[in-house]
Amino acid sequence: MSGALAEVSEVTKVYRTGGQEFPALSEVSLRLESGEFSMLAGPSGCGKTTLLSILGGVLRPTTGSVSVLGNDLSTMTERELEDYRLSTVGFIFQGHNLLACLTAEENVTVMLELRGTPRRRARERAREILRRVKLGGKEHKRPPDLSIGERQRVAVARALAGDPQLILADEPTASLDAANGTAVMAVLRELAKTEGKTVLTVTHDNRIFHLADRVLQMEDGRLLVSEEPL
Amino acid sequence: MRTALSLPIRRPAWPVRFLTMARVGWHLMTFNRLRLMATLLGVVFATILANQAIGTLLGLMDKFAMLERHANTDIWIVPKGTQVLNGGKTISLAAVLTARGMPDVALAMPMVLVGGNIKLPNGGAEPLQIVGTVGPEYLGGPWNLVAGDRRALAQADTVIIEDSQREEFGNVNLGSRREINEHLTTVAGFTYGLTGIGASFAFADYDYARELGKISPDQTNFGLIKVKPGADIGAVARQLAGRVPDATVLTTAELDAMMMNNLFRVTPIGIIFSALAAFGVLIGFIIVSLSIFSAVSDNLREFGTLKAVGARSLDLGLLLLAQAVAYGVLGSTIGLGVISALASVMSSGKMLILIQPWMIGATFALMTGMCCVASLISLLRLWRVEPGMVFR
Ligand SMILES: Nc1ncnc2c1ncn2[C@@H]1O[C@H](COP(=O)(O)OP(=O)(O)OP(=O)(O)O)[C@@H](O)[C@H]1O
Ligand SMILES: [Mg+2]
Repeated sequence: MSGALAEVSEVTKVYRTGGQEFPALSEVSLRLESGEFSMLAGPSGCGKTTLLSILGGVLRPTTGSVSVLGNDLSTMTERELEDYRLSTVGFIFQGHNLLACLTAEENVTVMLELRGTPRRRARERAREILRRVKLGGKEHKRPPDLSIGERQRVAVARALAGDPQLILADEPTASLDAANGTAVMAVLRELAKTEGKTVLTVTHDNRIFHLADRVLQMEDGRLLVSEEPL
Repeated sequence: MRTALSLPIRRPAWPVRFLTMARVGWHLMTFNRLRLMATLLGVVFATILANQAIGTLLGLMDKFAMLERHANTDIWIVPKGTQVLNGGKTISLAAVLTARGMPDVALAMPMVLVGGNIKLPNGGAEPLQIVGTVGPEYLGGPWNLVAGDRRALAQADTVIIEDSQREEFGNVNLGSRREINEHLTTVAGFTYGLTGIGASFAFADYDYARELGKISPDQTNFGLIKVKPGADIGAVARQLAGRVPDATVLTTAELDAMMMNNLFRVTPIGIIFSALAAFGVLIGFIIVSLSIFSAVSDNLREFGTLKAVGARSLDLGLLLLAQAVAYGVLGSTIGLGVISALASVMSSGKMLILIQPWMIGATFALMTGMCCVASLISLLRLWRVEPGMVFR
């Protein structure tokens, strides 16, 4: 269950806004193994989301290279990046970002349909995944009618739907209470351990660090020496 | 050199992608009922205004060309210099007889159109346009009778008048007697909707009308000709034109084109109603553009999310396209329903909003097109959505 899934080498990201340059990442190098569940922590503004975005192919590094499953993201065209995101990455956003107009089941189904799963099978699979995140019976509720914790679990279900190798989560538990937060993290950990997915999640919550295989600390756009869990 | 990518992905075929995005688009547009109604209102408004304007214009055109369009004839002989059928000038009756002698002619009849005055019981008078046609065929009218029978015109000193004018003529009934051009005349029937532009039409037997208009027996206003089945109307008209050099011979289509040309040239009604229709479409377009744009702006995060997870800009374009079609079709259906009801309520014997079958198809096409164009601005906005936004 090992071998590098993703390799980030000497990645630098400089944001340019209105003639001003802001270095958000400097020379970050990182290896993520298959089946690894790691956490990314650090003060606000240190570049965690930037690093996640680059790994997820929604942002390009200024210099350096990122390779996932042997594919070099820095040489991909926009279209290839879209294919990469759809096929390889599962995103969980802080604000869950579900479509409020769709039911929980439809939110998940759309992901699968985008990937070419026939509708009937997509719906079956969506229900199955929702049961897995303990949302059985709530398939037909829309996000506004779900609790915040339930919404985040729908977001997890959507991220899992396409069976991606790499799951990237940006503070998925920030808006959740301790119990719900731990529950979401437990699902993510189980994914890494039973299915060999690579999970990288940003968190501020040191109470759950113990769930991680590795906690990566960032500061000022740099990755500090990674530490093993306590 | 790049190594080949190994991405386990095959996007579905276009129709499937369209259906997927259409489903999302449908939920997006129906989720906010208020905005859905605002958008539909734009389409409905444009549909109603455009159809009302065009329908009224068509109604006016029909009234303007009423005698010619409803005469059920193939060829007209008219006095030289004729622009519209107003009966001011005459031609020789011999021209009609010449036509009657031609092998391909089935029927050739004269028609007179004379000004008249109907005296009212209260002492006043109302103007009329009296049409005289030859029975028993009565080529040229009357038509659309709601009471009486045109064969009654064979009886001496009778007319058929317009039903919607009964009150104006002093509560006329079947059998009522009124003085028309100083001749005591019996009302033998009623037509409905035969008010052209100007005074309404009344129909009389040819000789009686000629007498009322003081036209000499060897003269007439028009010749109406029906050709035999299978005969070439244009060829017959050209042949006849050569034989009656003192009059103008026109096919009904040519006459209609000439009258419409005259109508649009000498009056501004074409411009007025076209402008009104365009105005309606423009206002509708603005409403629809704004509400689609505001919907897209409000849902930017949703669209960004779809992009982040791998949907292409084109997929989002398909979503907007599906919405535009839905807005167009729904709005047209509602708008056409309203305008049909409105047309039947507003149309009377004197006024006509003509909704023709082609206008229904044209409305669907135009409104759907309008919604698609209105979506384009939003599409430009969507194209620039960067997927990275969803992490912020
Ligand atoms: N699009 C952008 N344009 C300019 N500067 C940006 C942009 N996005 C982020 N930054 C800056 O880059 C730095 C790193 O941002 P990033 O979002 O990666 O931090 P973070 O570690 O995720 O912070 P937080 O914990 O608050 O989410 C911040 O100082 C931020 O202001
Ligand atoms: Mg962040």
